[in-house]
Amino acid sequence: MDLAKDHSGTPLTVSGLSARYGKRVVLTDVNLHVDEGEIVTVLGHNGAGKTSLLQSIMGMMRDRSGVVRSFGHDISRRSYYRNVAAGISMTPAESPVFRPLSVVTNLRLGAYSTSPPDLDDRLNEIFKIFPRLRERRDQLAGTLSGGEQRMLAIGMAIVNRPRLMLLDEPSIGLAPATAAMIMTEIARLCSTTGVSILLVDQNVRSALRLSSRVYYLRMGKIILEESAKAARARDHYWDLF
Amino acid sequence: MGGSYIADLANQITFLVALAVSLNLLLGFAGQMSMATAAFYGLGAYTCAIMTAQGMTLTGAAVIGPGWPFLGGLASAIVVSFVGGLVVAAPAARRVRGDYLILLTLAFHFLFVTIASSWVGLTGGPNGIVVPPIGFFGYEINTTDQAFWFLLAWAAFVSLVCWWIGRSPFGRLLRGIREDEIAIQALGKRTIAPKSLAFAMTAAMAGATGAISAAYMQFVAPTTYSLDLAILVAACVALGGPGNILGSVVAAIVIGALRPILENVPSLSSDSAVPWQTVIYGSILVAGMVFRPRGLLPEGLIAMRRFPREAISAVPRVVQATLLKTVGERDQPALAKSSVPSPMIASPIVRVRNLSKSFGGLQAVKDVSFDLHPGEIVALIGPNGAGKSTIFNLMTGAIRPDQGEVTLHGQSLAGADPCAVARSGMARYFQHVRILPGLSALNNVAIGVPRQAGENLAMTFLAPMRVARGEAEVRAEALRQLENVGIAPHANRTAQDLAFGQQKLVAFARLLATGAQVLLLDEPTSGVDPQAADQIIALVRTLAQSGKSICIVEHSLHVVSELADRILFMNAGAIMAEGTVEAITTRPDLVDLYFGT
Amino acid sequence: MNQLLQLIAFGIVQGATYALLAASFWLIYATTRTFHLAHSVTYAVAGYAAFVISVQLGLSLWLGAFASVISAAAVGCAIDAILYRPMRARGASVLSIFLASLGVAAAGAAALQLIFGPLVKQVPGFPNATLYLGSVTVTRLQVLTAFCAAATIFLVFLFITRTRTGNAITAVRTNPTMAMAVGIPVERISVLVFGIGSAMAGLAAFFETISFVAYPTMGLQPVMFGVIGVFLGGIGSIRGAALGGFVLGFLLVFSGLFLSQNLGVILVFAVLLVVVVFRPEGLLRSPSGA
Repeated sequence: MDLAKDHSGTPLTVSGLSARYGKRVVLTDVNLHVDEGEIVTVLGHNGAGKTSLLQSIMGMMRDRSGVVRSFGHDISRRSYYRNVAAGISMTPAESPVFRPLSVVTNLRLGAYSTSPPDLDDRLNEIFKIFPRLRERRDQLAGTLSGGEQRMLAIGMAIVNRPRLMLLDEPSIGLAPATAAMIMTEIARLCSTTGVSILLVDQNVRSALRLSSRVYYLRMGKIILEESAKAARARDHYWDLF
Repeated sequence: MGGSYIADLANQITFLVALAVSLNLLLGFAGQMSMATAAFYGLGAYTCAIMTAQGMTLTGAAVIGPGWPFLGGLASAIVVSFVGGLVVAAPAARRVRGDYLILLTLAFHFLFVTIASSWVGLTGGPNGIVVPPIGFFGYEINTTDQAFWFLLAWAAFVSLVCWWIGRSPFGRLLRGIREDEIAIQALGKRTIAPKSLAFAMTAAMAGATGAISAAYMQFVAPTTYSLDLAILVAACVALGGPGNILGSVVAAIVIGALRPILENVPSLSSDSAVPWQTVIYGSILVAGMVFRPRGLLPEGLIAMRRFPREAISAVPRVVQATLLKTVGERDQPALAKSSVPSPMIASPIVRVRNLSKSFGGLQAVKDVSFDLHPGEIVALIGPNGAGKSTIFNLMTGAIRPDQGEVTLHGQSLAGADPCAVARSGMARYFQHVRILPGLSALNNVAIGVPRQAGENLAMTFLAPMRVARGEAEVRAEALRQLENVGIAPHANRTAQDLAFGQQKLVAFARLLATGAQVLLLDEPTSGVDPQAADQIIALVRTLAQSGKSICIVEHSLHVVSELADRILFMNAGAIMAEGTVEAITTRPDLVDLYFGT
Repeated sequence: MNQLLQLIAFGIVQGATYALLAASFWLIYATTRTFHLAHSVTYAVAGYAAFVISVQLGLSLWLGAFASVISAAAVGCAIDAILYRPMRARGASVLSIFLASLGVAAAGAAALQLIFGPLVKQVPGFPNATLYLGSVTVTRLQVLTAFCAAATIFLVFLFITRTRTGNAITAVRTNPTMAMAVGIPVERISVLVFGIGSAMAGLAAFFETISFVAYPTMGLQPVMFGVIGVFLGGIGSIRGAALGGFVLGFLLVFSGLFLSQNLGVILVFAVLLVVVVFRPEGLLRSPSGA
């Protein structure tokens, strides 16, 4: 089981998190943690509560109880915009961009809560990572392909130079090659900038390739935690879903 | 008009009562907001005035109307208001969003006020029209005291009619529409007609009241029919409790009495009584909506009294034999009933052939074909985005396929919407349940029962005995289904007070009540604790054994392994494989597909 | 011919005013999904603010205009922050919020009547003059009204499409979940759009007050026109809403020439029915959402 590492400045510690949508219980007593520079994956079937987990951590869900700590602060009751300003980014699974706005406007909006003075430099950095976005900088985000939208979504997350990234199914709906490219990029981000990442995905194998640890979420409860190495060694995961 | 002042005050209040109870039918029961209360009130008043006025108008011209007696004017008012109500409501009734009705009724109010003020030739303009007094069969009402008894009878009559409609199966249908219109459609009940009809009834009652008030005051003028009046009536409904006719009566009396009370407060000038009344009821309305949106006397209290406790005894939990007997007997086709299902012997009930659908450039469903047999549980599994929910949407007619077709009992479902599909015998269970929170569990299930005579408004009035008998059968059936799923003791609790697992069982009971042979279950065990999940798994298994044809979309492989006879593995919109649980889970290529590479 | 040009001139003036009203309602409705009928109280308060400043206190009309706009913004923000926001936080239904809005609309107008009395209030002092543009006669005030209305709509359009905050408003309007995910404080944006939308209505109210009079229920009809304009022109963009308002104003003025005024209203209603049935998003469909 996890130890509550309250004072060490761990990027993320979740203890006893429970959440509901109205009457529907979506999370029950979830415990997990992400260490500095780690990529941790939460695997689970749809409806297991993965999106609710990320939204609860972010402060986007009303009905929740339990303790969430990040970098030494108790963020259990902190609002989502303060979390973003403090260096936590969140990338939703569906519609992760603002479709009626241009690519460059989307990226600038990513920095809305922090308004960094070197925003233009940061945009250039992002364009270096994703040159296709530079080509399409004035295009409306809704006209981009699926893969390009995901790239943009990640760009919007990193423009704030976050210390902790919450990624909800970053490769969903993408062709295998594009999905692989996105995942590679995420891994590279972690290794070059040291950002800690909590990743939630359906594509078990590719998520495991970049992670160091994995949690299995089923019907709102964490049923198992193991190292990614152990998880990769499994033949199948039918009994964990 | 001569007579006592008190009688006149009381008479004015009776008009408010009649308007409030008729608006309650629309706003309280059907949950539809109309800003046109004052407009229909005025429409009826002016229609009566125009049809009954005699002699000369105030501007000196001859009246244009036929000079009918009062009853003719009243009848005209009712007809005109009813038709006007249909014209205004029907276009908005096709949309579920209530904003369009607010828009159209606002515009209608504006239309009415403009015509009443400007079309001098027809309506006398700002000066109005003189109206002959109320009179029928030679008897004329000339004093306020005489009028009181007649007007009291009218208010009581309208209240009774609204109460009667409210507690009828039609009223229950309206309440269902209020709670969740899409869920009602998915049960096979059409909603455009009931909504339009409720609106037209409200308009007709308001119009009739308008005619009576015009003849009482012997005068009509545009300023009476203001938006403030519409808001006042809405306040009476909101405060008295939506769906609570008695509450509307009480609220109307209380709020209506404010003005005369205020007028008699010595420190207030005479023309500030009305604005003070408005400030008071406006503030009460705001406070009421903030703190007690269900009204001061919520309908739950009234509803509870209708179901005597003795009729519902504590029933033991679901017994498989009972379920087999009651469910199976009613709609079992002529097949051998055995406890070991042999689904492959029976011919398929549902045939899905070459279904394809793309959204934009994305192919969501690609050439999908499969069959569903009675007594069989088929599971659709696959990674996210594989197209499973889209298949359900295509099967129930929520979206149209680009290619391919679905047949049920040999009939093609092409072009049918979810309502028609449900009527044909294929019903869907939603992942988010879509319970009707403001109705009791029993009523939730009762709404699912198809072909209820009582849901036809005309029948409610023309054949009350038949409707009552039918309703008794419907209630008995609803209770039976609640027993089948094991929550009969909670039958008369309001659905929103139940735990989520219990709500899911109520939704199952409701689905069973439709009598549908084919059940499409969207993640039936999501969101509940393991015990409730097991209860649901047992229930689904029993349903299949009784001959239902069941297709489930599930992400929990644990649940799938407990339930499925056959699995359809989907990926990227197409069916990759079909087989038993063991066959699928031992194939390495499918493992790769599901869990990624 | 002269008459036609004259009517066109009136149509432009009226259309511009209704366009402003529609745009003001649109901003609030599209971003917060609130059917804010209490907008009528905002309007009326602005009219009386001009009266208080420019007549009762005898200050200049410029200050009166300022007072109108500021008081409107204050009232709009207050209604959102004190009434709508707590109700939203509590999970109140859309219908309850609408009924509460009605309560405010009724009580607000009545309160104004109690404070200022039922008689209409004039705010004179505008150096009006008649202008002769070719064969068309207009007053300086009409030209100013139309110009200010158009300029305001244009400025707000620029604000929404060119500034960071304006983009945030579009973000909240089109994808509230994602807006939260990038840290845009949705509730603060909500108060902001109430402020801007109300200020726009306040400006319209100022012009009505100095052109005609202020009276307690003066807000009802303008808001009604604003609502009709929005649904007529398009709920997807400010351009659509403004277009709808403009078309509405034009229609109403023109019906006075070719048809009697009554039939013009019927025509508007009929057009509305057709739009609701066949094209509920309005006449102007906007893929870009601005």
